[in-house]
Amino acid sequence: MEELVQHIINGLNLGAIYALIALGYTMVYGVLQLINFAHSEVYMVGAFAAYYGALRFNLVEHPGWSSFFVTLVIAMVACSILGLCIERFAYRPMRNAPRINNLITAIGVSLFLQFSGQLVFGADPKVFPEVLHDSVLFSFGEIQIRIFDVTILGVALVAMGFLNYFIHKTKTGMAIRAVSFSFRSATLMGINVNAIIMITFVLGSSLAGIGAVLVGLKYPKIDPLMGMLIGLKAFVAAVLGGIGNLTGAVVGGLMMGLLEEMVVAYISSTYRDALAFGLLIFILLVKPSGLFGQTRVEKV
Amino acid sequence: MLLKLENVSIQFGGLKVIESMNTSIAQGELVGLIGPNGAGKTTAFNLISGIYSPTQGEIILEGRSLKGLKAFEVARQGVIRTFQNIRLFSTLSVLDNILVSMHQRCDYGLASVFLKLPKFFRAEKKFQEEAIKLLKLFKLDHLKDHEAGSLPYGVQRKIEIVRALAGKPKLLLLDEPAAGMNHSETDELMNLIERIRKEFNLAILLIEHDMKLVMGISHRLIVLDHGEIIAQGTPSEIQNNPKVIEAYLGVEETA
Amino acid sequence: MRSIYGWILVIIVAAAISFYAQLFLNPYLQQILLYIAINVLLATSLNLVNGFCGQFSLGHAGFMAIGAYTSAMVSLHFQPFVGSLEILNFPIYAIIGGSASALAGFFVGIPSLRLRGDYLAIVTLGFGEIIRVVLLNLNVVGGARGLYGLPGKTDFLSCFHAFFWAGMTVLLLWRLVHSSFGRAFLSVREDSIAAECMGINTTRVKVMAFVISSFFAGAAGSLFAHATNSLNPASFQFVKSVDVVIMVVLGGMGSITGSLLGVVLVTILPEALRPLQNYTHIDLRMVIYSLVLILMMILKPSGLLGSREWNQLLWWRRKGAA
Repeated sequence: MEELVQHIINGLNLGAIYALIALGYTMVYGVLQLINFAHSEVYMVGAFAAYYGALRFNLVEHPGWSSFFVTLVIAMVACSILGLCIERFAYRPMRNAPRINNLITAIGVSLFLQFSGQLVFGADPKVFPEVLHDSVLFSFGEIQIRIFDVTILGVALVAMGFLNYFIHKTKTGMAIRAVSFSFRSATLMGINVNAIIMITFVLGSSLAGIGAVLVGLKYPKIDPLMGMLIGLKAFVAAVLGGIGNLTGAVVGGLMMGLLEEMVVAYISSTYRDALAFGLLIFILLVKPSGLFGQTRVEKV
Repeated sequence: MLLKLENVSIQFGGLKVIESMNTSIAQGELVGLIGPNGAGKTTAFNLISGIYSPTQGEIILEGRSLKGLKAFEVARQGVIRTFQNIRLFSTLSVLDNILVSMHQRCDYGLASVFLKLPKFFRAEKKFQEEAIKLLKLFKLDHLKDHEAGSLPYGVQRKIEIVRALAGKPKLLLLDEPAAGMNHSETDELMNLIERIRKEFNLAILLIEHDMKLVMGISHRLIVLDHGEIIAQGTPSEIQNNPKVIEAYLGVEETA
Repeated sequence: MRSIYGWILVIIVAAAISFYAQLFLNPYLQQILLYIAINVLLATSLNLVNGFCGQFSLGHAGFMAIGAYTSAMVSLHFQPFVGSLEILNFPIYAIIGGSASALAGFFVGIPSLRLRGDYLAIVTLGFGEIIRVVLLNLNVVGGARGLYGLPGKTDFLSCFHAFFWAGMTVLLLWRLVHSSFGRAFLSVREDSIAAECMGINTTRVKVMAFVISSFFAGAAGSLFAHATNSLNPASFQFVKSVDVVIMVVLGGMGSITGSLLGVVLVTILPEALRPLQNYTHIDLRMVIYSLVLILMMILKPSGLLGSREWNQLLWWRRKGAA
């Protein structure tokens, strides 16, 4: 029983990170109807930006909350800039091209970042600096709740709370929803669609940056190919929740994290990565629109 | 009766787009479907051609329900359509566009293709001849090797009709076939439609905005407004129907 | 009789290339030539799905791996022909490998091809990775060490066998895309709703293309296994799938002859880059490939040949001159 609770705590942690990244996929899909393959590399670059930032400002020598937040901001800013560049230089010229061309471009950007990442950062894994010390916060019998657990869940919740407020309570958020609903009508209503798409990329990329730092804390090994697998899983989480749907991405992410933890704990760690793929096939067979997604009727 | 609609309704979310539609079309009949913009005409087409399935009611073709059939199965049953906003396979040649519709009648298998068996050549020759015959009917045979998407709008509309005919429909659904055509082109097209109806013994359901045209050609009219049939009858009956004048012609004048 | 000409051409070309390779090329160049033959199978078959059907598969390496490992395992336990007839084993292995892949393609294709094209990209990407992970963890096939001592030579007959497969793949796919099925594939790419309304069972058509494509990927895997005499999961990484995608996109999606051009360019590029690599000591190949992908899509999305074939280009030039 105590073991199970511990696994649930770990699973929620992992899930919260998946959720943050899944939100980025879902938001971009919402406005552009495009699987942003490069999103996982934005996340990877966030981790490296945090790594180099922390070294540059010597944050390892003063671990603590302030160092942690500085790392977070560095990652968010770096990811946002990268996200904007990708949108501006790769996706915008393709706005009216056939879907398949957009998809190829997205894959191209993803590969380009992965492999130029290997050139720039080196292919060997690096150890993420310890900008925050971990220790046991409470323990109930065998169950331990550590500072990192609370931090990861706390930061993720605050970020999602902010996103929720922004999307549902502000004018810009309303514009994002309008663009997701119908690109063309939004343009006709005088919404500056380019600006909205850029804001969407900034939001999604920032969340990926937060995710990168949180992963760096918990699993402190980073390398240029780290984005691919976590990106695939986060994408599956987004599909599970219903792509294009924010609540869906969060629920999907948490479910994904919990499931993965349980599979590793009770079945075998060999199947850890097979799970996401199996789950994806299952969703596509049973309910392709996901848990919260509506089947959109294509206009004829 | 060739086609029967019994209480057909569809709603998207909370919005009822078609509300208990009851009507029928007989063999060889040419029926006009009219109504103001947003009345649900194209949605009715999407229902009949199997792109949407009705939330309520049933569509019956020659006594058999089309319930649960996918669009391609409906097409194979003999209900084939054109589209309001032309959906040709634009990078394919005109001839290939037509031949796609004949794929459902393709009787050779992969072995015949890979080994180029006589069966393959026979079928291909038959399809090509048939397609060219249809194109000749519309005086389009000289364009057969052109890329469909590069041709003028009016020609593309005609190619869409030929493509639909190539599928050997019993019921042909034409969604605004004369849109974007000038007067003489429209007249010519209408003569053609009448001719193919007789020649192929087709029933045709036609959405058209040009009142004069639709009144002249149709045996019967169905008037749709706000997703409901407000009147059915011969052109002269419809012309004098006060409901229609109010709902349809009224809107037309202010538009 | 017309059905024979194609085969004669295939045999002549395969024999000519094999003679040339045996007489004039050193073993290193012979090896590259063999890779070109294998890549012809991979690229033209991927083009069927990505170019002609307008779907997007990113897992060709996975299907290749299934074919390669199946064929390798069979070859270790089953050698119906011995001595001078030994070469006849290899077509059997290739067909078995291809069939195993085709079966896998069927089960991957059914759930993902009912939906829009971009789901296929993710599912096949995941599939390719899973296959690799499974191979790494399967002891029967040697895990990370892989399989060694597989039968296969680089003599004239082996070379002929590989190029016969390459030629046959081109011939069969050429015939396929110039049939009613080919037109059905294209109609799905152009407008799947309109295709559906013209009586095309779009799901069936897509699955069919995907299964055929998987078959040839598996056969390519078999050729690969017996050309290198050993197998290792590392040969079937995601980048291998990307290689094939680049060949298809570069040559032109929907052009079989374009794919041939893509194969030659992409197989030779790493060799051409070697001096640069020796100078900089870094692997620039994938960086260049990915840049090529992006720039192609922005500047010339139709690829070098577009959806045209070589013979059409010639026809166009004749017409222009007249």
